Amino acid sequence: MGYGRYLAFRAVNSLIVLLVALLIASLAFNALAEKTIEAIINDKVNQVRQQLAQRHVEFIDVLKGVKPRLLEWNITAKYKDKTWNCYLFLDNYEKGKLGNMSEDDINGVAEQCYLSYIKMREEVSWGLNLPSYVRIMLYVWKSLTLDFGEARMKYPQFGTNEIRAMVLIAMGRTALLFTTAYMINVAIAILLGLQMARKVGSPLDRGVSVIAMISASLPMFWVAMLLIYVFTYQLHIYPGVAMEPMPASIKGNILEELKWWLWHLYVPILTIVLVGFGGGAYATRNLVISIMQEDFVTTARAKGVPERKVIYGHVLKAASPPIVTSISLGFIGTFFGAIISEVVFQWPGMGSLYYLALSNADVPVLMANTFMFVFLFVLVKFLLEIVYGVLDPRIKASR
Amino acid sequence: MIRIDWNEVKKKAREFWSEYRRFKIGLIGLGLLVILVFMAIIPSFIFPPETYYNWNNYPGWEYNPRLAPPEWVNLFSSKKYTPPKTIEPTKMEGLWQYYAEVYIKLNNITDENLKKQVYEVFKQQMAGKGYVYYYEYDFKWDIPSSDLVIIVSNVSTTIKLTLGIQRPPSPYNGQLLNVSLYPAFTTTVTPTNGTVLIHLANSDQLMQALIKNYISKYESPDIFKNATENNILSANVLSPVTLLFYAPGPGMIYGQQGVTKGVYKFNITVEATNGSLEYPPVIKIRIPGSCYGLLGTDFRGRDIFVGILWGSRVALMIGITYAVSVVLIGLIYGVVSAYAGGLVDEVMQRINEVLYSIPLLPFLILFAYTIRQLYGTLSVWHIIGVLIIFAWTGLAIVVRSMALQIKEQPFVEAARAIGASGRRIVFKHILPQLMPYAFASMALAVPGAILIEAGLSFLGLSDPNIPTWGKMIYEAQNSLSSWWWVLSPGLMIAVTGMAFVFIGNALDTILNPRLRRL
Repeated sequence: MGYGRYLAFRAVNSLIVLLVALLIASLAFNALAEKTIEAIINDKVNQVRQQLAQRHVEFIDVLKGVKPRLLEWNITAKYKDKTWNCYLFLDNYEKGKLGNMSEDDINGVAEQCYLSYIKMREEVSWGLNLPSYVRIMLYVWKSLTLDFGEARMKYPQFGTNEIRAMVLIAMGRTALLFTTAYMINVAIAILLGLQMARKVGSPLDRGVSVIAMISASLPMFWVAMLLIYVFTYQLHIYPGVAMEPMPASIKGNILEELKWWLWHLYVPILTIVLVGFGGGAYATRNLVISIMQEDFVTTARAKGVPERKVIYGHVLKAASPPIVTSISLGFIGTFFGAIISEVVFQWPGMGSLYYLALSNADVPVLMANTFMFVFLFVLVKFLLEIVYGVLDPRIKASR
Repeated sequence: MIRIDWNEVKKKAREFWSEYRRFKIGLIGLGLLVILVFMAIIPSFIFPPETYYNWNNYPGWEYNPRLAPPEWVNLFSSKKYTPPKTIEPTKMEGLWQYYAEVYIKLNNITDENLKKQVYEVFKQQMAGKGYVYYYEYDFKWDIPSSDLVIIVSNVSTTIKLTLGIQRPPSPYNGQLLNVSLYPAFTTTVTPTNGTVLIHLANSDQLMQALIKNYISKYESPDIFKNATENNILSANVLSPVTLLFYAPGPGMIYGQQGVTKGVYKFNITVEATNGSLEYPPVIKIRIPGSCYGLLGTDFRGRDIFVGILWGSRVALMIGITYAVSVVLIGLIYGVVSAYAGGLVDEVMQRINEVLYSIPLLPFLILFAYTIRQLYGTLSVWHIIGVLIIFAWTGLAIVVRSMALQIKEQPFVEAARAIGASGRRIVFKHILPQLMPYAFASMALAVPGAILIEAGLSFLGLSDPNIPTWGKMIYEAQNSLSSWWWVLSPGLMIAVTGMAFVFIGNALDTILNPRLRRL
């Protein structure tokens, strides 16, 4: 029962985090959207004006077609320093009460009225007429239902223009590259950390500790650039980009396809491992050292348990919950660098999508990517908490 | 009022220092930090401030070569790069003098008196009409400059400027060639109080002059024909200034014959197109060269050394502001939460946990972008601000648990028993216990902020005007072979991070004796 309650508590917590994060993000998007949508609407109004001018349409005639809307939205327009109520104007015109106005003036007022109507129509379709808190809630709802619409620009790397599909593809690719690299990282970190802790002060321990400190301050995208320079420009053993169209000849042949992916991904993976493994090993070492000084380890040793069994049995078992924690923290830290390095390798994952959306000023894509990132992040954290609960029996007992 | 016992503080500090001194790594970190602080301070005294707040478009960059490696590569490279040089005229004379001499030469006048008369006549007719400047450039390197800049200032009326070039004698088919180009380049300069820079790197005039008088004569016909057909011999593809230095022979346009070393002579004739000049304009020739300064230049001719120094100021500013604010906020929040206890503690912890679980990166990207769209610009302070808002939470959790332990200790209980106020207990008893931990966290927080700023810059979200290390890497990403441009900012980020990690780790080890090496 204890573990169930722990899980429920964590789940509720994750949900609250998700909602708060989405709310904050929606706040920013609301501000952004107001700014960009205004520009879009102005473009649209100008477009309509030009179209009508080309077709030599009498504005008063098109205005008649939208008469109910004029009343509903209470459309007004400015013409020659006077503000006109468009519905009343049209009404009076139809009843023939505007006899003293020239033909030009009537058409002028009608044009302004029609453009005001177009502007209002666009605003309504974008939801700008709603109060901002409603719009923010709408953003939260849209992101929860993954309803992001179409991208404004073209993104050939993702093969689709529907934002939801695009972001899901990007997420999958990032997960593929990053998870692979991170698994390797964790394995190296645990093995190396245990060795370091067993022989504190040895050359291995000192060496890896220094590497850990240095690599903690290396910008990963910079390391990526250096590796590309060495592997591609100097040694010519890497294609330079992580993603190329796969030749048709090897499609379907699983072994060949795997080779193709390895050939393109080994340098990106190497980058993530190179920057990450030191920190992980150092954290493991510190945790293991502090646990090795606990009484139960001394007891085990005094009992005559072989040293191997003490390390891999007793110590690792006790150290695994904090290792999971530090790994999950490291996960977050490395993820940041990794998705930026995607830009260097032109690996079309979430980082590249961010880069493209930012340079295209494509707000909906930016929004979808951010929301997806938040989902992914909260989900991973929740999963790690479940694992943590399984590993650490004290958690089952409490709560 | 809480009084601080300075003697006690001094004694504690001395004790701490004697402990800290034993950590070699901590001392290295401290040494690096001192160097960094020095690097952050000196640029204010040696560079014009415009290089900082107008990093992209500072006019001084026009004098520099583009994408040039540092000057010290000549120590290691077998092919020597040309260092930049500004050439002052060796001689200047009035245009009348020049014409008089030409007249005397053409008419073979030998009589001294007659010569004087000729001079008089020309002087009366042409004084102030124009001037001729002579320059000499001793070229002794292997990789020539790709640009040549004529620097004109103090022009009082519209002038026509004509450049003539005489190459040094160069061996060709067993004889010595003397090639002269006149006019190599002509332009008009309108009156100005400032300085006009005329770049010849993309000058089609110079290219045509070179083709007519030099290349078409000495290049092998096949290569010449091929190059003309493929439009290679155009100033947009090859720099005519580089071609000027290449030695004659087959393949000369690709530099296959090497360069001609020796003294290149330039002359510049200026002539007032209307009326006369009140005073002679000041004209210099700048050879930007093919290497530059301590760390070379980037694709806009910006001095990377200047950028690195200013960048260290930005990085320290970001790192330290962030670290100090985050630690202070976390410290206060954690202690207050621990001391208050009960419902207040619970609520504060819930808020903290939610904020702590929010991913930092997408929010930084989002808010940096939003600020840029709404205010039209982005400054480092915006980035620091957003960073602080989202990143203080981790420390508060640790501080709270530490404060909870301290709170239960007998001396706090004793203080409470003799009637100390809550504020006094927090500031006098709990906070001082946490200070060492706070300093270690500050040191360890700095590299993260610098890395995050660099990462945002790499996505194109950075202060558009000032140089930062991250922005320099971002701009270098398509010029990977310009190692001097790629390496230096990245190394600086790494070294800065290292300095703080070393210091932080030394502090951490002092405070956490369990981790001490056995």
